[in-house]
Amino acid sequence: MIRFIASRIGFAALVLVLLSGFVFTLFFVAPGDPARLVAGERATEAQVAQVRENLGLDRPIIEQYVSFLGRSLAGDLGFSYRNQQPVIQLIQNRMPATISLCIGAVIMWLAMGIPIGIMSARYPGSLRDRVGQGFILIGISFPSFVLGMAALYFLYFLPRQAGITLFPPGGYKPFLPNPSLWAWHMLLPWFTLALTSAAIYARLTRGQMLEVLGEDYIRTARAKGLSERKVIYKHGLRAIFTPLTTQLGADIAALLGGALVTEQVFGLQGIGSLAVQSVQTQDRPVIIGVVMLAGFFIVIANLVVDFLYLLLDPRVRA
Amino acid sequence: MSQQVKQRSSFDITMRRLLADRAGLISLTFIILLIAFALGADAIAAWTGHSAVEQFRDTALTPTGLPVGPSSDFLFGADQLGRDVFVRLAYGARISLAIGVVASLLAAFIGVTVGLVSGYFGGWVDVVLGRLMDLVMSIPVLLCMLSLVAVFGPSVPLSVAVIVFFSWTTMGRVIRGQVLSLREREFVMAARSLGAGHLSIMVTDILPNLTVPIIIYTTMMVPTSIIFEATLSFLGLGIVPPAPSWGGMLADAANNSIYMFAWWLVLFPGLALLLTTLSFNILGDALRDALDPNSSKRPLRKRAKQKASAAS
Repeated sequence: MIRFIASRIGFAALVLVLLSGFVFTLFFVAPGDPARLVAGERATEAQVAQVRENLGLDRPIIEQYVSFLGRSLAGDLGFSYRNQQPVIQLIQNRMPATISLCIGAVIMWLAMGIPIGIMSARYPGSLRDRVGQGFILIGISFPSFVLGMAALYFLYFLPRQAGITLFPPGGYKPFLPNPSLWAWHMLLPWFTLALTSAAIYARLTRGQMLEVLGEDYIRTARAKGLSERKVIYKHGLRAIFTPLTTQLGADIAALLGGALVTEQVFGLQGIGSLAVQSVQTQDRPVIIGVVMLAGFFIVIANLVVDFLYLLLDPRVRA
Repeated sequence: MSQQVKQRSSFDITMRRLLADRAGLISLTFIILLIAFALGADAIAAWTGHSAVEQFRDTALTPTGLPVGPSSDFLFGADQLGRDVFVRLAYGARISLAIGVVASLLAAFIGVTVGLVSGYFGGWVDVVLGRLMDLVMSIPVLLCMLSLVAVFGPSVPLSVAVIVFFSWTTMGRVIRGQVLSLREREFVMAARSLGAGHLSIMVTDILPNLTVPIIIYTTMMVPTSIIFEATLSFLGLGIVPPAPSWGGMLADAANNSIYMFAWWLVLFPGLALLLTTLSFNILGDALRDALDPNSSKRPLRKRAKQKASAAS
């Protein structure tokens, strides 16, 4: 078990080092002189040289990389080329929207996907199963930004035309002091981000549940007179937690990508829209900072999933 | 000789099953029509007299500057610059299909190769390749794409490269799993005892047994790649405007929420995208049912049908 934990932590560190190496190399080999970008169009050669020295861009690459790694670990991600604000502060300002979006979406897709999958698996071939399978098919096929735009059109714009304010047009409202306003603004983004994953989880739950329900111990549980509800939720569900957890681990990286698109559609000022804006303005420290931070979160989340594994699956513990 | 006959009959059986699947057949028809639509983009442009990038500011925009809706002149309406949505949709279909298919084939090729090598050799090769797949799967794809675009600028080859790089792992895992059991089979041992080399065993003995999962998973990869490309273009990271792409058209529509007043800007490209991915997904399911009768879905459907016929 200690070996398992150690290997997972080692792997997490490897991912981070490789990711940082990737973004760093990318921006080092990039065409365009960052010192000139910072100094501005009309700067003289001397001013550009001064900026280059201040940013440490004149030192050897390896030295730059090592000091970059060291500073990143200490939470210093440098300054934005555009407005000289600390990158970490820019990211912090955007964090609440993205975190609200991601956590809410995960809860929503689990709450939609697992029950639909169970419903489908309990009555295979029935009308309910067909409805479930239809949900899966449409959910998997619906591009999230199309869904988001459709949701805004039908649930915000059309009611608005009719004089009813059903949903807000977008934007983020802080959790405090008004949590219900926050939730009201997040509801459509949550649904938009959650639908595809909900469909994937429903499919996974259905397939696993069908398999589990054919096991001998389920027959035993039924034979000893347990109610169907207990059989499904106590014995069946317990067995499919492990594959669901695996899937959750694999989905965390994709979640951030989905958040980026959703933020764009709903005008949420989150980390994803920060990244898109930074690409448009060529603000490299911010892009590097966002990628590094996202990588860090993914790695941590994956570690959490691995430890959940330990709790859920006794075979890993042995 | 007898082998030839047998192979043909299995193909026949598959086709018969496929043709009996109504949903699959409808999807296949839609995909064929879509291909024709994409191939005929030039003809459509000639017929309407509108090119994909021409701006008809006099006829396609109202005096207040808003685009006109669907009419006999502009079948699917015009966009905010006065361009013909119908014509752009046809050219966009080319991009979506081309990138979706090319990226899926490339990713399938890499996935099959890695899965084959990993599963066949096992041992440290398997461990290293398995770790590589873990690694690729734990990278934030879109953020990497963002940084690549920030440096090199958006382009079609870059989009394809990124889609391929991040989508071969699913195929790799599936193939690896299959090869693990296939390599223990007698025919592999027979080939080995006849003196066949590793490459020969992998390609001539094992690979033909993987045809079914390769066909199914490649088909399933196409819609994912199409959505991926559309997402990149939507974020301004894929196809460079003014070249038409479905994702780019939707991005234009989302810009300043203009689609609220011009619903056709979202409806047509959005529906095209949805129907395309839906068709490929349904076709993938149908192919699985037809090629692999042991898959979990088939007996269930049969049971449902029996129930239905018993009830009637």
